[in-house]
Formats: sequence, C-alpha cells, structure tokens
Amino acid sequence: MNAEEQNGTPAGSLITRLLRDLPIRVKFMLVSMAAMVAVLAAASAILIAHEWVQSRAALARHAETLATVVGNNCTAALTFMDPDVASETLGALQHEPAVLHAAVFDRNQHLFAAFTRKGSEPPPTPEPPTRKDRRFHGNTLSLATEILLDGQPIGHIFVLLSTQSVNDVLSRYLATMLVVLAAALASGILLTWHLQMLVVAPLIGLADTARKVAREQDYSVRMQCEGHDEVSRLVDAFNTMLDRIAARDAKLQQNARLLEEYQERLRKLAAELVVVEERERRRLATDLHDSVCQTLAVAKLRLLELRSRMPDGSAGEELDKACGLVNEATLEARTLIGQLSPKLLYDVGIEAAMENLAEQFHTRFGIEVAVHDDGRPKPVGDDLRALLFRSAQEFLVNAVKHGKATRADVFLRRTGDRVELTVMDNGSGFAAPQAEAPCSGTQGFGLFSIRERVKHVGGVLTVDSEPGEGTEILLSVPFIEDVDGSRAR
Amino acid sequence: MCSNARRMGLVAAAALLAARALTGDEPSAARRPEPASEADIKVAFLLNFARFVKWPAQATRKDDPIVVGVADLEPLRGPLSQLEKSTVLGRPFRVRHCRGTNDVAGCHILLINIAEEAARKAMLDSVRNKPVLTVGEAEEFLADGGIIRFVLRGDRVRLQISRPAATAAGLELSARLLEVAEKVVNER
Repeated sequence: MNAEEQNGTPAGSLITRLLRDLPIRVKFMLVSMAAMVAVLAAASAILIAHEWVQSRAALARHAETLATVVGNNCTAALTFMDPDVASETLGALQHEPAVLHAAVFDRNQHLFAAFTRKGSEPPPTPEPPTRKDRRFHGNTLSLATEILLDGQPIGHIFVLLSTQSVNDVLSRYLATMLVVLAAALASGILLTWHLQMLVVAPLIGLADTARKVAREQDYSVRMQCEGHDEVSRLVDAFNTMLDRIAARDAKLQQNARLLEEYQERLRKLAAELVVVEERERRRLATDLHDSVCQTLAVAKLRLLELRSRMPDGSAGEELDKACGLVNEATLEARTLIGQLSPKLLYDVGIEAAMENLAEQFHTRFGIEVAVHDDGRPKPVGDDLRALLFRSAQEFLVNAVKHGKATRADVFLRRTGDRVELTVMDNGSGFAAPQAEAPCSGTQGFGLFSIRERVKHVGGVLTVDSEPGEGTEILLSVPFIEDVDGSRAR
Repeated sequence: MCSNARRMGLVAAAALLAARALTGDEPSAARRPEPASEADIKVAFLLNFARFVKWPAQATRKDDPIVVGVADLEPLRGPLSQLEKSTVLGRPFRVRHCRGTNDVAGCHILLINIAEEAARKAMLDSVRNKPVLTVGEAEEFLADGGIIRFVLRGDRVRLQISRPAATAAGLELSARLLEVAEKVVNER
C-alpha cells in the first residue's frame, strides 16, 4: 500500500510528500501548530459568533430600554397633546450615537413627534406600528413598542438604530482574538519546541544510534530509555535486535575466520602439493635419465659393437633396426624427461628454460613466442622458479588453446625485491572476471590455481583482457626461500 | 421642529385622543373623527391630571372614586358625562357640581371655571392647604393660590402650574406633568 492510498486523498498525499523529508522535530512542531491553530481558530470562531449574537441581543435590549424610557417620558406629552415636549424628549436621543431615527405615534397611529440624527438620511416615514416588533435589516435594527400609561397603551414609539456598534465590537473582538491567537501560537511554538524533546528525544537518539551502528558496524552500543510507552518498547526491540545482530555477527566473524584459516591451509596444502608434484616430476625425470636412458645407452653401445662384428646381411640389417629402435626409445625418454622436469630450469636458470619453452611452443603449435629478459640476476629458489616456469607454460597454453594466439611476448623483469613475469598475446582475449573462477579440468594448472599459489607466496596476479583485445597477465612474486629453505641460484 | 400645519394636525389628533380617552371608542376607518372641542380637551385634561398627581394617603383610599368638582357645570356637561364613564387605575370618576364653598368637601379635583373673582377666590380659600387639585382659567388663578391653570394658546390648551400651591395642598405632581407645563411657578 503506497502513501497516497494510506492517506486516501490527494491533499493527504501532498501533505505526506511535504512532510516526508522534514526532521521529526519539525514534523512534530508543524503537526502541533496545525492542531493548535485549528483549535484556536475554532474557539475564536465560536467566541466571535457568541459575541456577535450577544452584541446583537445587547443592542436589542438597549433599544428596548431606550424605547421604553423615551416612551415613558413621552406619556405626559401624549396625554396632554404636546408634541413639542415629545420632540424635545426624542431630541435627547442625539446623545445616543446608535439611534438614527425615532418616532412617536399616538394611539390613533398618527405621527406625533419624530427625531432624525443630524447628518443621517431621514428614513422614509415608517409605517405606524400596530404591535411590538423588533427586526434587524442589514446594518440597522428597528424596534417598535407600545407606550403605556397606567397599563394602558396610549401610543407607540419606533426606534431605528445602527448596528455599527456591533460591528465595531466585533472588529475589536476579532483584533483581540488575532492578538491572542498570535500570542498563543508564539507561546505554543516556544513550549512545543522545548517540550517536544520529551517525546522526540528518544526517537532522535534511536535514529542516531541506528546510524552509528550502520556506519561503524558497532553492535555493542545500546539505547537507554525509561518508561513503558511505545518509544520505550521500540528502544527495547531495537536493543534486542542489536543483541541478535551482535551474536550473529560474532558467529559470522568466527566462521569467516575459520573459513580463512581453512582457505589458508588449503592454499598451503595446494602449494605444497604443487611443490611435491614438481619435485616428484624432477625425481622421475632424474630416475629416467639415470636408469632408463643409461640402460638404453649401454644397450645401444652393445648393439653397435655386435654390429661391427657381423658381416652385412640380414642379421646385420636386423641389428641396425634394433639400434634404430633404441635411438627412438632414448629420444622419447629424453622428451619425456624434458616434459616431466625441464633440465634447463634447474641446471641453467629460468631465462634459458623460458627460451627453450618458447622454441617448444613454436615447434609444437607454430606460435611465435619472444622472450624478453632484463638481464638482471633473479635470485629465486627452485620452487619459485618452477612456479614462474609453470605459470608461463600455462599462460602460453591458454593463449594457444583458448585465445588462438599467433604471437606472444614473455617478459622477465626484476623490480626491487620482486620478480615479475608478464605474458602478452594477440589472442581473442576474454572477459576478465572469467579468470577469477576456478579453472576447468581441461585447463590443467589453471589461472585459479596459479592465483592461489601466488597468493600463498605473497605475490599478486593481475589479468587484463577484453574480448578481441588479447590478454596481458602480470605475475609478481617476492624473493622467498623455498619450502625446504634453499635459496635460488 | 414641526411646522404650523403639522402642529395643527397633531393638535387635532391629540384632541381626538383626548375625546377617545373619555369615550373609550376605538378608531374606525368608516367613521371619520370629529375635531375635539375645547371643552372636550379640558375634561380630558382633568382625567389625565388624575394620572400625574398623587394625593396624600389620608385624603383618598385606593378604591374610592375620584371626585371632580366643577363650579360651572354647564359648558362641560357633555364631556363630563363621559368622564364619569372613565376610570384611572381602576378608580371611577364622580362629577360634582360645586355651586359654593359648601360643596367642595371631598373633592379631589376642583375646576373653578367661574369668572367672578370674589367667588373664585372664596372657593380657592375654602380648599387652601387641603389635598384638592385646583384647576382654573383666570389669569390671576395661580397668584390667588390655584395649582393648575388652563391657558388657551391658539387652538391649543396649555398648562401653567404652581408648585408651591401643590406642595401646600400636599399633592405630588409628576415631573412629566411639570414637563408639559408651559410655565411652572416655583415660588409663591
């Protein structure tokens, strides 16, 4: 359910949008002010309406009193038929600013005397009143009442008053109410601004605490709140949530540490496995060289000696064939030895082994591989040397198999106490994130395995490749002692 | 404030009012009112005096009729007959013909409408300092000790009042009565 549906009306939605981003203190203030203004406005409207009704009623009573008093004062004039006296009596109404017009009628409803305020428009001669009557017309009040003498009607008096006094009272009242409203609002703002902290402070504290927890990942902080209201329950729930998050975070961190430990152990085991594998390859190569190759060499010497004693003929030809087979076996054994453990790598050095590797790839796959060595000594041990060689071998295999490259450049450089191996090819390249994933079985050593091995020895591996843009792989490792403590040559 | 023509109309209306006060008739659209005579007005005034004058308690009782003594009954006979049909505060009027001083006892209002000075003074003397409202027309009436004098101004009947005489008689005159008086004498 969205905000508009919750508020129900477009106005409610507008108010929600306007209030949405304001601080809670301002929201609280605005809501309080709105309620205060509404209440004060309603109270003012009621009071003004009450005052209006009361003022009109008071004016009507005043008019009635005036009419009665003046009528009583005219009884003698009416009785003794002296309209001059009645006019003089009515003339006293000049001191009543509200009276615009007054008239006395005798009991035969003939006009006996009349008064019109100076400066006022004389009203049309009123209809002779026949009964008591009181009514408001616009800004005037007209009143007619009987003049009694000894309880007997002897005439009527008609009075026309201006209601301007009522309007003046209402204007003054309205001005007073506006002043009161402004004063109440000002007081309300001051009081609300200070008193609202009783309500808002825990919420602000809660928000600050939540922000601090999110920013610093510190789940040990707790909110303190007294009381049993909704805010206190919210604070309690927040603290409980922090307890649970802290417990889960601790467990998560413990698991992360365990995982890291497992990964490190796995990485170490993998590195040791590679070293062991490399050493086993080297031992097998040595054994092949020292036993099989030596035996084949001896066998060939015997066959050659035997051939020298035999005349040419079918037996001699057979011996020649046997010598040829021994030569092939010797060649295959040497190839196998080279594949198992390149002799140049350990006997001559990484640079020579790289040159030989380049020739092998050119021979086997037709790729042009150029080796660029900076000529500086690179004191790496056997294990690190094997890592660099096997890595270069893997990079070139990938360039041929996956990148279909036709040219590659291998750079060997020494930078400070680090050795850098860079292999660049002109192959099809690939999306770099693929290099992060563990390699499939077809990729053999695989970038993933190399990365783990490099990481284990404190090195870094960066792959820069885009589809169609070739690949550049940089491997940087520090000089370190081999697993068995031997130093490089 | 009022023009002469208007004043005439008002006087005519007032006279009619006075006549009605005596007769109790209500105005009728079908019957046009006739102008009131001077006699009618004077008799109406006698009736109205009863409304604005307060007699001492020992001189009258609440339900007693108001006795109006008239020295010369003849000019007022018609209106006076109507007066006897009227009441003020529930008190009826009784008209007495006072030919001489022997007839004035018990009167509340005494209209001394005789021209002979000696008889007039004698009648005034007979009620001097007594709770009798004396009404006359003679020019020296107030000077002779009378309380209210009718004065004819054009076609209007106006009043002159002597407060010392009223005080001496123990009568309380309403301020409203004094207000309509053309002249109020405050010193003897």
